[in-house]
Amino acid sequence: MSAAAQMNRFLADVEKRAFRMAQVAVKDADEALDIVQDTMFTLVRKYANKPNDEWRPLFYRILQNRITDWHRRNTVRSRIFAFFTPTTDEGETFDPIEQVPDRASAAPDIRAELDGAAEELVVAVGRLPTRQQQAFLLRALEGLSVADTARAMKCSDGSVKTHYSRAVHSLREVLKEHWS
Amino acid sequence: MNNETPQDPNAAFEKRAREVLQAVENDVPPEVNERLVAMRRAAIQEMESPTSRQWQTRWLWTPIAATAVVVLSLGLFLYSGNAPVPMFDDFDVAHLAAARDMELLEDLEFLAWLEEEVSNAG
Repeated sequence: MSAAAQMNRFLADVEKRAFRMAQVAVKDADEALDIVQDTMFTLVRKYANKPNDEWRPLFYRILQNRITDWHRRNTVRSRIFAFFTPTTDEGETFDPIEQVPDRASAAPDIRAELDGAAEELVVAVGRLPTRQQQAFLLRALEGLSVADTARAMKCSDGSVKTHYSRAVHSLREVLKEHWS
Repeated sequence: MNNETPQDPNAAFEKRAREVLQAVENDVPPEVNERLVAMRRAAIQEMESPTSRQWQTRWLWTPIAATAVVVLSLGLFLYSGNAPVPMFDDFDVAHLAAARDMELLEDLEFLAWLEEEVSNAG
């Protein structure tokens, strides 16, 4: 099988999970698709020559970097908005960010597709801190080992275990009423 | 995951979460699925295109060039470090000093001649 065919098979295997991970992280389907596209092209351009068994952790490392970049850009944008926040006639500050629906709790595009338990889990995972979210999704959804998760997250095995354990604890706390 | 036992209180939760997430993964809307397939095809096309191979070649040449520069610098550094410092023995020093003295004498002779010429003209 040619390298291109192997890469095609690999990308076909991970693309849906990658999309869901990005969607849970950024709460927007279009943004998630952009992130997955960027990840695919980066992997092909820079790492296609690497051995096939290295593709998976590399792919998820690129994906997590892109998600982190997205959050960073949004944080900067929010700060700029906050700096230029106008005041209303009553002297109260008008915050445009407040006018945006809370995607973490709403996430309408993903909630519309899911039902019951799935919706609750996805929303709860979306509310986790970023590192816990990454560790949980890479372990539970992608099924990466602790070592590969650590490579993808650029941290130690111990950190992965800590983030994952905290994520499971938080999710159990949040979902215990619904999942019992 | 792999290192959990059936007694682990989190194991049942994790198993269920995994099943739910896998169902979510497979439940991607058709239009999203089409876009994912299109992206993948575009990425694979780029991988197969000659432009991409040029990129790969460029990526290959960069470390080779960097390695060559490092090896060359290291070689020059080591060579210059081992090279003997030129030393003069007593004969050479005396010889050089004599040559300098001759030059000085010639200069003095020239100045004396110049002075004579000036005084003769005056």
